Amino acid sequence: MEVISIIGSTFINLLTTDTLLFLILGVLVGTVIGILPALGTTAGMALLVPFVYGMEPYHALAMMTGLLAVVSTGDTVTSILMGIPGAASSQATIVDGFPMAKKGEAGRALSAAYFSSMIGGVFGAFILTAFLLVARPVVLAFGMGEQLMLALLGLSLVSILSGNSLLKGLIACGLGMTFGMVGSAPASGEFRMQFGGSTYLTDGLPLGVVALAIFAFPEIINLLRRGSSITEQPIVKGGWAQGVRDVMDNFWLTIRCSAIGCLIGALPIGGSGWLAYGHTVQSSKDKSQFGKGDVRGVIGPEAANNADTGGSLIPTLIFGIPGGGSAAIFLGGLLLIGFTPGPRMLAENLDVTYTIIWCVAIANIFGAGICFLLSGHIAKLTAIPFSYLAPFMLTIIMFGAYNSTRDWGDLIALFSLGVIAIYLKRFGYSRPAFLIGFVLQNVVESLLYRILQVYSLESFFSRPIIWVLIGIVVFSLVIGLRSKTKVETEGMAHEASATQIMPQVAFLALIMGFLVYSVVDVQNLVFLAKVLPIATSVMALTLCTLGMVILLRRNPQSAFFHDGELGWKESDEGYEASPFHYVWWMMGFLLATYLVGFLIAIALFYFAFMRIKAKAAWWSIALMAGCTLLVLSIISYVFLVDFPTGILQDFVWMPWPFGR
Amino acid sequence: MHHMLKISTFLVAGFCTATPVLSQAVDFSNKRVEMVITSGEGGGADTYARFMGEVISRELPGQPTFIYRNMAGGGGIMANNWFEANGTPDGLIIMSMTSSSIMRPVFGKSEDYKFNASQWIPVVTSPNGYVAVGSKVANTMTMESILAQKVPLATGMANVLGTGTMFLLSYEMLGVNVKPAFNVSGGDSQLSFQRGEFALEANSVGSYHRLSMPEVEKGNVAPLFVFGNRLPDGSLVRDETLPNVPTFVEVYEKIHGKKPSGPEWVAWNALFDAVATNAKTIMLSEGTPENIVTAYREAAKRALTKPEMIASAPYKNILGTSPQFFGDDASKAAQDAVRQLNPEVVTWLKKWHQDQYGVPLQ
Repeated sequence: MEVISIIGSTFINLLTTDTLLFLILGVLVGTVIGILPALGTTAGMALLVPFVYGMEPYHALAMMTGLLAVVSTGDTVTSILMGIPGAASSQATIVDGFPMAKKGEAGRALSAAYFSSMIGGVFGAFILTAFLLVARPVVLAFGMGEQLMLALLGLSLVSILSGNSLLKGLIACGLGMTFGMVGSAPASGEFRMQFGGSTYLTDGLPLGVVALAIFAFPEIINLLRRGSSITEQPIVKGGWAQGVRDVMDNFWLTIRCSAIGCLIGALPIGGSGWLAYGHTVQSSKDKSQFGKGDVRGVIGPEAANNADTGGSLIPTLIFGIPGGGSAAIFLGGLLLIGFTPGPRMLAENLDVTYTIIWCVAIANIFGAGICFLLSGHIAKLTAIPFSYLAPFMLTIIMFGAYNSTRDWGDLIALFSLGVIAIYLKRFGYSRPAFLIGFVLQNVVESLLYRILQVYSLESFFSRPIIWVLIGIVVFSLVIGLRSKTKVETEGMAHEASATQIMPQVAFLALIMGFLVYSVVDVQNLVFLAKVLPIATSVMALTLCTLGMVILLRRNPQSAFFHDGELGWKESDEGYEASPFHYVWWMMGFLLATYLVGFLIAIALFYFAFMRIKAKAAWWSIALMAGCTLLVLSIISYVFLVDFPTGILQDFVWMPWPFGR
Repeated sequence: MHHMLKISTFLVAGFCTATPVLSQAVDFSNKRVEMVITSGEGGGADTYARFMGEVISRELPGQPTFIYRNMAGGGGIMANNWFEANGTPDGLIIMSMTSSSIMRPVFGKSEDYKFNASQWIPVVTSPNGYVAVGSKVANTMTMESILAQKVPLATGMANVLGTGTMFLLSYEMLGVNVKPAFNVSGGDSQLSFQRGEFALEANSVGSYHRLSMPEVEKGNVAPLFVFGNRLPDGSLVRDETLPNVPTFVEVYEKIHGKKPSGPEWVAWNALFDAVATNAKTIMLSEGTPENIVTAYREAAKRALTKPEMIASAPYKNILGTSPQFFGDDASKAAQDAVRQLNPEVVTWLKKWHQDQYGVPLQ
C-alpha cells in the first residue's frame, strides 16, 4: 500500500511543481535531436550534462529522463521519409516505412509510427511500475544461455526476410556475420580481418556506418537514377487520421510488440525492432504487402523501440547496471547529479525511481504529440524533386557515417559497403538478413564463448527457460520456412535473369573469395577466437557452392536467379542512368573531400550536381548550399565534430570550420 | 625492443616538465576548454571525465565552459593519438586518460601509438581500489571454501589487458584455480555473478559499494580481499571504507605463511601501480607553461579537497574514497608505474599469461 501512495504522490508532485517544465524542456531537446539525422541519445545527453551538474537534482532528473524517452520517437523521420536509418532502433522501420513514403503514404506511416511509439513508451512505463519490485528474479532467470537463444531467435528471422530465395538470405546473413567479425575477438582480444592493419578496424565496423551503407546508399543511388521525387504517387491526404486508426485496428499487435521491446531492452542483446518486425510478419495472416509498405511493419518495430527504453531502465533501476548504450549514459548522468541507482535506491528512495518512471510515461505522450503535429508538414518533403533533395540526403548519410567514429575510415567503409549493398540489392540477396547477421554475430559469439567457460552440457540443458526458448526458435523457423509469402525487400528480378548469368556468377565468386580470405586471415589465432569465424565462413561457402551449381546448371525454375539490372534502360522504374553513373558522382565527392576537405567538397557537390542535374538557378543553389553549411557548422560547434580536412588545408590556412 | 626506448624516455622526461615562463595571471573568461575522453559516451571513464571537467571549470580563473570530445576506439589509442597531434599548450585542449594509455603502449604493437604520454603534464590522478567478491550460490564466500574447490572457478574480465590481469595474477598467487571469460563488460559480469554463472567477481570499490554491498548485507555475496591503498612509504593498507576486508598481502601471508616475493610479486606491484594507482588522470599538453599548469593543479586541488565536496554524493559515486594525487604527486605516481613496467616484468607477464590462459596479453 505504501508503494501505491508513493506512486500517487510522485505523480502529483511531478504535475504540480516546476519539475514538469524541465521535463518538457528535455522532451523538446530530445525530439529535435531525434529528428535531426545522425544525432541520437548520446549526443543529446552529452549536450545536457554540463547543465545538469549542480542543478536541482529532480529538475535534472526530469530533463534527462524526458530526453531519453523521446529520442527514438523522433528518429523515425529519416527512416520513413528517406530510407536513412536515424538510429539502430529504427532500422526495421525502414523495411515497410520507406515503401509507404514512396507510395505517398508518408503521413500515414509517420502518424502510425508516433502513435504506436507512444503506446509502446507508456506500456514500458506501465511494466516498470507494475513489475519493478518483483522483476529481479526475471532478469536473473535470463542467463547467458537464455540470451543466446533470444539472439538465435533473431537469427531465425532470416527465414522470413530472405525474399524468394532462402539460400540467398542465408548467404547474405553469413556474409553479414563475417563482416561482424572484423575487430577484436571476444575470446582473446586478438584482431581479426584488419585488411592490412589500420587502427580504424580494431573496434570493428560501426553499426551506424554499416546500416547507412546497407540501407540508405543503394536507395539513394536508385532514387537518383529515377530522377523524380521520393513519392512515386501523389501524396495521400488525411494520412494522419488513417495512421491512428491503423494502430487502433492493430492494438494487440502494438501491445505484443511493446512487450517484446520491453524484454529485449532489459537484456544486453539489442535488435528489439527486428524481433518485433519478425513477430509482426509471423503473426499476420496476409503477408503479401510486407516489404512493399504494410503499415503493420511500421507499427511493430516502433512500438518496440520506445518500450525498449523503458525495458532498459529495468536493470538500471533494479541492479544499478544499464541495459544498453543510452541507459549507460543516463546512469552516468544520475551519478553526476548525486543519485545512486541500484538496489539501495530502490529500497530507500522509491520516490526517485517512480519519478523516473512517470517522466518516461509523460515524456512519451508529449514527444509523440509534438511529432504528431509536425508529421503533416514533414511528410511534404517527399514531394520535393529529388535532384534538389539528393545533395541534402547525401550530406546526411556522409555526416551520419562520419559521426560514428569521426574518422576517415567511416567514409571509406560507407562507400565500400555501399557498393557491396548495391550488388546485394541487384542480385536479390536480402539486406535485412545481412544486417541481422552483422548485428547478432558479436552477441552470439561472445555468449557462446562465455557459455563454454561457464556451463557444462548438462547444466546448460537443465535450465527450463532454455527449452522453452528452443521451442520458440524452432516454431519461428518452421513458420518462416513454411510460409509461402516472404518479405521481399530487394525488388523484382528481370525476366532474363536465368539466361544472362555472368554478373551473378561473378558476384557470387567475389563473395566466396571474401569468405576464403576470412578463413585464411584467422588461421593463426587462438582456437576460441577462430572457431566461430571459420564455422560461419565454411557454412556460407557451402551454401555459395550450392548456389554456384544452381547458377551454372541454369535451371530456370530456381528462385536463385535474380538480377534486377538487366535491361535497366527499359525498366518499369524508368531509370535514366546506369547503376554506376551516380556511384562515380559519390566517388567524386570523396575525392573532393580528400583534396579540399568535407565542407568545401559539399559546397562543390551542390553546385556541380544541381547545376548539371537539376539545372537550378545559381542563387537557389547558393542558398541551399549556404544553409547546409550553416547547419553543419552549428553542429560542428555544439557537438565538437571536426569535419575531415583535405590536402588543401595542409598547405593553405583556412578559418574554422573549413580548416582547423 | 621499441618499448624499451619508450620506457627510457618516460624515465628521462618524467611527466612533470612544465616549461617555466614568467608567471602571469591566467584568465579563462569566455573561453571554451575541450576535454578529450578516451571512451564513448556513458560508462565509468566518461562519467569521471565530465565530473572532473565540471568541478575543475568552476575553480579555474574565469570559469571557462568545458566541452567534451568522446573518442572511443582502440582502448583509448585514437583519443591519445588525437590529443598528441592536436593538443595545445594553452590549457584549452586537455585530456582525461585511463591506465590503459600506460599499459597498452607497453604491451601492444608499438607502431599504433603515435604519442608519448611521458610528455604530458598530469593535473590530478585518481586511483581506484578493487575488491574480489565471492558468492553463496557458487560456494565462494571464503578463501577456505574457494581453495577446497576442485573445478576451475569462472570469472568475467572486462579486457584481456588491465585490471583483470591484476586479479588473475592475484588468484594465481593465492593458488586459486580460475577460468576467465574475457571481454565481459562490468555490468554483464556483475549480473552473471549474481546469477551464479560466474563464481568470482572483480569490483572497483565504488561499484562494490553501489552494486554488491546490498547483496553482502543479505548474505548472498561476500568480499574476499582488496588490493589496498599504497602509502607514501610503499606499503599497502586496507581500504578505509572497508576496514574489515583484508588486503591481498594479508590473505597471501595467511595461506602461504610468508610474505609474497619473487618475479610474480615484482609484476604484481608493477600492475598495481599502473592500473590501480594511475586508474584515471587529467592531463595537459606537452609544453604547457607553468602558470597554466599551476592554475589547473590549484583549481583541481581546491575543488576536490573541500569537505562538502568530499561528502557529496557525486564525489562518492564517481571518485570513491581513495585519496587523490595532485600536481607533483600525480607526476610521481605515473613515473613510479612506468619505471616498474620494465622489459623484464613485461616479458615475464606476457609469458605467464600465454602459458596460463593460452591467450596473448595485449
